[in-house]
Amino acid sequence: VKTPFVLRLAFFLFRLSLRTFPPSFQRRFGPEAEATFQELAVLRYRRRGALGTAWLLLGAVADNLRVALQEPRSRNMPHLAPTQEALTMGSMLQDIRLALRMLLRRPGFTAVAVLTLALGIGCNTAIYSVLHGVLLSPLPLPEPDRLVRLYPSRAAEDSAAKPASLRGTFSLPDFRDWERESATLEAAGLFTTVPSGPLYTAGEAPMEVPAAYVTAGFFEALGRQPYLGRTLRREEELGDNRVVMLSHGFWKRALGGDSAVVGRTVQLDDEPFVVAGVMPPDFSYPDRQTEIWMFLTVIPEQSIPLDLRQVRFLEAVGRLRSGASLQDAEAELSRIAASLESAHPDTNAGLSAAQLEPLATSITGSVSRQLLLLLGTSGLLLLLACANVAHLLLARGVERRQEMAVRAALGAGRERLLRQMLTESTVLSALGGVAGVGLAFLLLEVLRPVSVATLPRAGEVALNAPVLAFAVGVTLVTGLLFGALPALRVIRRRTPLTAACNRISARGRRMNLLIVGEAAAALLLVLGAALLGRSLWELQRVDPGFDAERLLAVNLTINDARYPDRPGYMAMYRQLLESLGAVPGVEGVGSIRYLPLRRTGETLPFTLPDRPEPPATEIPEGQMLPVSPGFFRVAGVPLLEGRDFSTEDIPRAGGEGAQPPLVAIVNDALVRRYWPGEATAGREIVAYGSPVRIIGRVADVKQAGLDREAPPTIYLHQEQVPRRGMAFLLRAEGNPVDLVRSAQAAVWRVDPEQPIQEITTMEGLLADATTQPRLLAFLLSAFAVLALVLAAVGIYGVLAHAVRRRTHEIGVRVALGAHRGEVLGLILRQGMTPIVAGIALGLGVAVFLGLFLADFLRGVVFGVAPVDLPTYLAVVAFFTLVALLACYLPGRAALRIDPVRALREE
Amino acid sequence: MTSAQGPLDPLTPQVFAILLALGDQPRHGYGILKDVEACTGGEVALLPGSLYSALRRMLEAGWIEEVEGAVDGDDPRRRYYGLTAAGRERARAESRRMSTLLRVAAEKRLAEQP
Repeated sequence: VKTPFVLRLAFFLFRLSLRTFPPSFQRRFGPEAEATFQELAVLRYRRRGALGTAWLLLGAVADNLRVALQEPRSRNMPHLAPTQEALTMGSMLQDIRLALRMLLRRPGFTAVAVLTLALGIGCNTAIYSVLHGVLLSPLPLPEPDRLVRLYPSRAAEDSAAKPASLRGTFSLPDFRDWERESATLEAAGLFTTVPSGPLYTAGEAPMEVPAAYVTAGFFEALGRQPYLGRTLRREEELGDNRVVMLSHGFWKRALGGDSAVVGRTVQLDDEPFVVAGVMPPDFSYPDRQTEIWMFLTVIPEQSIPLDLRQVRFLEAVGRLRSGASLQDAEAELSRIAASLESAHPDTNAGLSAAQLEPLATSITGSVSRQLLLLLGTSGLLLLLACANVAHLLLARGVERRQEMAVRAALGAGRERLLRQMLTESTVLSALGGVAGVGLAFLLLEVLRPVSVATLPRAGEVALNAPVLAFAVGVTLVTGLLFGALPALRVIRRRTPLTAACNRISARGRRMNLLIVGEAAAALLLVLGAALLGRSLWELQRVDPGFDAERLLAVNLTINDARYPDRPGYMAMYRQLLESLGAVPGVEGVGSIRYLPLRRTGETLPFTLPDRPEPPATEIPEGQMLPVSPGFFRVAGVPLLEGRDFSTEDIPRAGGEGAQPPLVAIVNDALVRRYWPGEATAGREIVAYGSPVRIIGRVADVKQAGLDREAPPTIYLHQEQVPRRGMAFLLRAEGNPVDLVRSAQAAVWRVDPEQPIQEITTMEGLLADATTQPRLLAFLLSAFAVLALVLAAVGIYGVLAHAVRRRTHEIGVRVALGAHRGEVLGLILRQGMTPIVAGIALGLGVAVFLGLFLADFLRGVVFGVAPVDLPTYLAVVAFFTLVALLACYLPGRAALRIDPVRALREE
Repeated sequence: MTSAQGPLDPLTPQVFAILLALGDQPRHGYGILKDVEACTGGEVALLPGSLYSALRRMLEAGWIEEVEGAVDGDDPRRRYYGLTAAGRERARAESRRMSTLLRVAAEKRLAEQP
């Protein structure tokens, strides 16, 4: 009976592992041990099959390695004595030792190669670790693939494309209907976050705790077990709902990590809440800032009428039933949405569809492009590093031809030589890999503080096992990549000894191909960096619409519990405005609901009385922002037409009798859309069911970010449309930073217990708005500089080597009367030909990528076309200059060749 | 690790199990593995590497010796091992030590009465 292959393989591997024992042991017990293992393996194979045998083999080999280390080795017995050329552990160790000796003998070469590889491997490992933590690793929630974000949506014209711009938010009644009628959702919950939630005064300083208001389904859908206690229960939602979940951080900081906290009460907004539980430290949904979770239903009816179907501001997360696909769920929920639309035409017009998005995508969507771009560029950098080390090895291969030839003549087989060269390159890459992982560690330490603000899931980035596995993989591939060429050269050589004795005159064509590739890759990287640099420049040039100089912002929310009714908090508001305006050194003060560049205002649908009634899906919308009189003057927003708000627009005290009509100032974007080229002041729109008179027009202010066009905007009078949350803008006479203390004091003079969420200069805010693009541009520029240096060094190295090899030929040429220009031209031609080819190739690839990845790139660059001719031209010119310099230096060396000496040396 | 084990040192479970396996008759390596597995219900894990390492130490300590035992049709690589007088004494000593311990454990209600 023939022994099955699996068993023969197992026998072989076991025999191999026995070689780790000392020879004396091997001689005495080897055959016996083999026989015993074979009997064990045959039995195991019969009972448990191949897999069972594999387990046995794994255990037995591990056992051998462990025991063999402890076996005493006699001194007089060489324990590594390979007797055959087979691939045995002993001969591999020998190869590795030989390789290390060779590398140590050339410390300069080794240092340059290891450093180059470390750069390539380190950058890739660092970028990959970010990519892994942010994009690839599953969310720290059970079965995260079934988690989705839910959006009510307007129907898309093209059913295949579902643009995110159609997504809307939920009202509580709509969501209850979805939740009840859906069969594809296992659980779903609503949430909304408040950066400054209920007031917590039991700590060291009064603070407004960042809160998430949720429905019971929120925790059911996410499915994460709490760290302590339990999550919020469904039966509590409508009954005694004063329960709260704490974040791990809040529990540690505010409650000292007291493990008996569950069941105790904490005072939030002066009301007792029972602590239901504490979430684990890595649970941070919906926001990283969220410190407490409480029921949506604790929001008092009078502050937000949650029961109204048109009150839409809630977001939803759901868990698909196992087996249900995202498409199934989307189709089903769209049917539900459509039936709600026909049942409630007055409130749900237009919302006839549903959109679903995997939760992971919704968390990391915005940065995935940047990360993929960075991984792509660091991959190119690694290829460049490989090419450079291949250059070095090729050049050294030429020097070592003699050595190899001698070893071959002494009887070393071709395979043996090949194996040794591959071992050398693998050892080299392993050294580079170790140094690279160290470099990656340093890079991450540097990047981490910067990335926390701009990167979702930044806390999950680490050099963990998968990342290290990636680094090992990259290292191995790298070793093969740069080791393959020189190694192939060795075995192609038919008659090594004679070849080594011949003077080499053939051109290194493979080196030229390497230069082509290197030039192309480096050009691509520099192009990418240049595009991002231009994009950043364009972004920084964007007019934000306000004058940030000398502007200080004070952000706060007047508390519900302390000022429950409108007259109360509006009186507080007026006092704050007055008190801040009276601070010495303040030129003027104004208020706005949300700071520019932070977020857009409330969505306000309106109609134009002089136009025919549009269909429900096309009702005009704008963002609504309440401001104070004088805000535009203080913020430096130009008033293009009409007048500012004034005290005459203010409702009369007491609120009885004829109130002044709502007045509005609109922005230029709104006018451009609805009355292009026409006068605006004096027109009317209808909003909130009543006419609103437009009294002025101001320039556009970037509200959602520098890269977003200002949407049509309707500014209303803060006195007419009061809101509790607001930002005061103070125009300073001098440096706004000097006003921080006195502004704080001015707020606390009005109410010493009023928390201030934030005081910041608007210039700082403007700088924050470009942090992420700046980081990206910086990283890519750093890669590009490295790439340029690597390419230049590579080109220089190859040419310098070529000049050395052609010394004799050049000597002859000079002796025969060649001019200096001709010699220089010879070298430059040799160098620049592959570089020009490389530039052409790089440009081709760049244009190809620019055209085919245009959508992808548009998400990364701003204000620059992916194929931007001036940028391309500038980069090519610069690159050519660098390349010429890299070629000129060896060319100059060629000029110094003394024909007499060159000829004599031969 | 060395083979110098004093007579009072406790034995490793593996070495003790091998001594026990050879207590009734000489066995070859595979036979020892099978017997150890059968007697301890697989609780003492013994693989070829550790087995022969232990056998080497026991041979050097003089607790076991190689004996004739091959039968017809046996694998020629097989060798048989049996207990020496020293090995037998060592196994007895270890058994005494363990039964003493077991008695103490039983008195303290940490084990069942032997």
